[in-house]
Amino acid sequence: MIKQEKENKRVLVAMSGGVDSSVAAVLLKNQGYDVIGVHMQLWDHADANEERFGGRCCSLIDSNDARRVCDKIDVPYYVINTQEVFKEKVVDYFVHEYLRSRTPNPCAECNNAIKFNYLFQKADELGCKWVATGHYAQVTQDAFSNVARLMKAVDPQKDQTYFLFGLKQPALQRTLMPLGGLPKIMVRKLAMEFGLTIAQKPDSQEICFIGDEGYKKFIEDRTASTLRPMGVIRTADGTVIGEHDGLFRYTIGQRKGLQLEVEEPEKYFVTGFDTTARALIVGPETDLFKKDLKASNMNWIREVDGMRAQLCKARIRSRHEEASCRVTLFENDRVYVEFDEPQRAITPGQALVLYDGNEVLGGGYIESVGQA
Amino acid sequence: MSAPRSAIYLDANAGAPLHPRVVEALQSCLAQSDLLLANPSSIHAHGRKAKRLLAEARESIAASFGATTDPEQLVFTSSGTEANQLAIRSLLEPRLDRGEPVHWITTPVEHDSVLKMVDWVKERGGSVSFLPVDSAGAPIVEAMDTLWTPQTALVSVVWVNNETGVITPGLQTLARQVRARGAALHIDAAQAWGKLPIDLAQIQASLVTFSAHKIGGLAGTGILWVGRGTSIHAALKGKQEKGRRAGTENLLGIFAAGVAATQVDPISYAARIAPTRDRLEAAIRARIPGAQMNGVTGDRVAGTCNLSFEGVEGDGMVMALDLKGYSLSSGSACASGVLEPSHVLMAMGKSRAQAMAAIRISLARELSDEVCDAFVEDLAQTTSRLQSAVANRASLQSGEVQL
Repeated sequence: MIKQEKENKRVLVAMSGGVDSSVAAVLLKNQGYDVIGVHMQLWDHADANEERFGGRCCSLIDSNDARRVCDKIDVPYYVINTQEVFKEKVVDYFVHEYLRSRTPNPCAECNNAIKFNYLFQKADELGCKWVATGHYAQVTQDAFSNVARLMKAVDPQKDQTYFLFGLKQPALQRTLMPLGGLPKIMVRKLAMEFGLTIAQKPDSQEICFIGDEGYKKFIEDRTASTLRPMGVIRTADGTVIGEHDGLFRYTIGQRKGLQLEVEEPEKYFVTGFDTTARALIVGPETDLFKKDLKASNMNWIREVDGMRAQLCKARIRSRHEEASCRVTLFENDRVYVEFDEPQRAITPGQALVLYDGNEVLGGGYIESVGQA
Repeated sequence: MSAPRSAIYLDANAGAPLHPRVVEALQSCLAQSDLLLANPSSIHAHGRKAKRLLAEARESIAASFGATTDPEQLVFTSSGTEANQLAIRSLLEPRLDRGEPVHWITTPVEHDSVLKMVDWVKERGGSVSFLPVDSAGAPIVEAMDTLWTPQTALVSVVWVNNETGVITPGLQTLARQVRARGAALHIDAAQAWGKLPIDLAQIQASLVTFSAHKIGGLAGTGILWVGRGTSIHAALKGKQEKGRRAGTENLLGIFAAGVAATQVDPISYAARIAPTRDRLEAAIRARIPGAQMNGVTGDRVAGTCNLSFEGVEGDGMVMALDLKGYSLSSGSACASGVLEPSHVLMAMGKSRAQAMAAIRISLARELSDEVCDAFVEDLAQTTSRLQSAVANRASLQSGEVQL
């Protein structure tokens, strides 16, 4: 009986070596959890210049930073090789989406396929009931039904729920996110208070597997040139006003980097892709505003009534101010979303995440924009 | 988190526990009131004392390599890795530097410190061939003839495999053939020391690698035995070790290696350890039907047992067993401790999944029957837990709630 209770307090903490997951591990240890630190080596930076990648996510330095935190709180620590599954589920997806002229969301996909999937297998292997991360989000659970809800973090600047829409009930019911109730400034303070050497470590900003070379070079290095053909740049009415060297280099709403043979080129934005003709479509900023979209692969965090339209708010990219909308549910996990007001640069490939107040209802990937 | 009892150490091939005699000797050495551990190169009394310590250790170690081994033929290094690479570079680098065509024969089941030199040789214009291995992973030394070229300068072969404990047969014959053709044989004997009787005078190789922490000495002490007529191409230039390996000697490490060497007794090692290993393997076979024993068709040293379990990953086994209080290894770990598929099992013709699934139990001491049986029970439970974790992940994907 006592053993049973002890088992129930065992938590696998996903540790990147950064401030957030380190503080999460210490907090859980202080709360009496039986903490096991696990660092996932997601990407092999061995070929890359050590100086350039030093300190980034996935590097050996980060792994050692996480190890030193575990030493400090005297808990076991393991590094697991996640490179194969990460390449298949995240990196290949990332490259493939760009080649399809969509703008991917690798962090959401990493959460879906790695952190809240593969990592749970590891948790089961190690006899952990719980999995904890340093995400800024909150999980609440109904004591009677056991149904878990995903809620925004209290710090609106740091809220990461946009990347967590794919969580499924079996995982969510076993998930701890101890930072969701804390402002970031407090987390840094706690890191100092706990005497963690990484307290001053800067936050990671970019996509962890993309170096200074940028995503375009990354994709060029990994794909045949026939998969990313060059073509023309045209306006919506068909006037050709330039040439592009691969559609993967552009994203909806982009203005910089367009070589246009027109007066006032700064008034042109990327508004779409003609993938059949391999043409990039540009137009005035007003063309970017659209009122509706379709999304697929919808995941509902907890069950919703499929027969009723949802009146809620939606975010269409991570830095998007959520907007009121009406969501109609279709078969095969697809939805149609109509916003009250037109939204700027709705981008296929990006996530659509739906909110009801502070609660995350669910989300999916944007497939198409407008009535088309 | 601390384990319920003190953890049981089953990873002697990675590093044997310090021999009790070594611990005693180090304690009494450090307890000396006038202890100074001076630089052995110094002329004064303190230096002489240090030099004497060094000489005595050198003699003890030489004696454990056969009664007629000349202590002056030993070169102390920082590790087995350094000794291996020093051996390979000594034979190949001068020729590569002169732009001569150089050919090196080795095996696919060598330690990483040897395999890392394959690219090094190729980058410098040399060529490399690999002896085939049998299904137990033992190199087939008779195949050397078919690989031989007039440019072959060196043959490097592991004596006892660190992952499986499999012994390479026919090294004596191999040494004779290689010598007759005017080339050098380099033997990596890191895992043989203490586990097999060694008489270097009988083998007559050119270079042999040893490592002190495999016999209960301190890590950080490697030894390269250098046969007559073989010259060393020093990587570090200076006066120590007769110019073959510069840098102030690792006095305490060498001292500890000397003490450990006096305790080497391969016959009693086999007599003590083999029954434990056999009991373990029989119990595992009986209790865990899916367990595969790797390398068992070959001749093995007593304390090593390499296992794969269907449908599980070795690193998960190692972590889960660690939490149950058992220290053992899987595959070969890189600096961050990440598992890669075992190149040894891959060379034996195992699948990638099998090579990822392997764990290694390696014993320095016998286990009591109770510990043995408890371990096998924990191993069985861990295996089935890992197997159900894989199944559970599939249900996680579908989103079905299991409570």
